[in-house]
Parts: sequence; structure tokens; C-alpha cells
Amino acid sequence: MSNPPRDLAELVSLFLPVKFGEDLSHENELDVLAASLGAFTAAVTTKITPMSWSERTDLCRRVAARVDGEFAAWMVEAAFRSAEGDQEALVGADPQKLAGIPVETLAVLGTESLSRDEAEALRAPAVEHARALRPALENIPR
Amino acid sequence: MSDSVKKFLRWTLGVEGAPKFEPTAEDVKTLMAAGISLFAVTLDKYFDDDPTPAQAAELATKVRQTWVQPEGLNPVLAERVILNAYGDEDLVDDVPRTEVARIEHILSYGIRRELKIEDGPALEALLDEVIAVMNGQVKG
Repeated sequence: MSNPPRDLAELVSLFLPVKFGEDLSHENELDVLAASLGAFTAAVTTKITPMSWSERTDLCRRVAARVDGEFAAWMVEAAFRSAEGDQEALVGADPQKLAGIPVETLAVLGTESLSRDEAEALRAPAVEHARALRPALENIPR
Repeated sequence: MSDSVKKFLRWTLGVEGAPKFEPTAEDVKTLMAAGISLFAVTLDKYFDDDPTPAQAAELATKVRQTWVQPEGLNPVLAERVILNAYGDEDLVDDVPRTEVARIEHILSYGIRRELKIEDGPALEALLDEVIAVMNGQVKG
């Protein structure tokens, strides 16, 4: 008998820090999406927004390089801006290509500038973001 | 050569009455050079110095808001295409060249509108400048 589906707070903890290899197939996919986006938003606004333009641009390149060819570096920057509240940033970007950006960003930050303690400290704001984002995800065509 | 290049440039720049340009296979390399030269010439007229990322973003915003369908021009990509023209490396090297070219054309069109380069002598002078840049490139 598999465990009951995890709630948003539990799911967020799988992204901060990123826990690879978790079987999320039995989870509510919109909850997983909300959790990843919530974690991403918290990480962007805390760690990435303060970066200089060149630090940020280099980070985009490193995130895209992790999954060579899946998405372009500019899409990573567009995802950062979207998380920061820019509603135009993702115009024209293929949503399928964007899907991996939150996890890959969190993974790169985890190896560079986001310690385990800092990641865990982001869980509370990440859950807030996830809860705020969750209702809108119902409307995404799948 | 310069005749078909000028037809391409007029169409790209939205000259009133310019017929839709249909390139032939041999034209492709020349037209790529024409598009790049057009972009270089219009940027040179628009910016006095190398633009900062903020200035590039401002131009992208103006073009999106005023001159083109915003859905056709992603602001992040437009900004990077502008900075890429000034030699900022690796900003768009993972973007297909045809997509970069498409955006350069749109931005060139937007800049010519921003600078109010009207159809007629002013526009034809712009075309001559572009051809001159292309010939300069050919001479090396």
C-alpha cells in the first residue's frame, strides 16, 4: 500500500534542497508543479534577484548546460523574470521546454551558493508561493 | 545583387507598397549578410555608445509596445539579440540562427520607425548605407 499523497509543504521540502530520485508518480501533479514553482520563486527572489547582470547571465548558461539542448539560456532568464513578477517575460516561449528550468536551477544553486540550511530556510516562503500559485494551475491545458 | 538586396531590405523595413520578398536559394547567404548589416546600421544610428543591458531592454520594450505584435517578440530574447550585435558572447549561441535573424529584422524595422526614417530619400539613403557596409565586409 503506497503512502497517501504528500501535501504542498511536504512536496516543497523535496525541492529545498533538491532531492533527486524521489518517485513522485503517485503525487498530485499540480501539487508537485506548484511546489517546484514555489521553491523556484523563493530561490529566485532571495538568491538570484540580488545578482549582477553578468553573474545572472553566467548562471543561466550553467543551468542550460546541465541539460544540454533541452532549453536555451535565454529561457532560464525569462523564467527568472517571470518568477520576479514580469508577465511578459515568457511570451512566445514553448511551455514544454520551460518545464525543467525550476528543478535544474535549484540543483545548480544547491551546488554553488545555496547551502542546505539556507534551502531549508526558504521552505516557508516557498510554501506560501506554492499555495498562491496552485489555483491558477487548474487552468493550464494539459 | 544589390537590386534583390534592396527589395529584401524594403520589405523588411515595411516600406509602403513593397512586395513580399521571396528569396531564391542562391540569395540566402547574401540576405543573411544584408540582414546583419541592416541591423548593425540601424543600431549604430540608434545608440551613441554600446548599450547597457537596461538600454537594450528599453529598446526592446519600445519596439514591442509601439511597432510590432508583442506576441511575436520575446522581450528577453530581443534584449539579448541587441547585446549580441555588440559582441556580447554566448548570449544567443544556443538559439537557431534563423530565429536570431527574424528578431534582428523585427528590431531593425522597429528602430527605423523609432528614428522616423520615412519612405523615400531617407529610406533609400539607409539602404545605400547597408549596401556599403556589405561591400565593406566583402572587401574585408
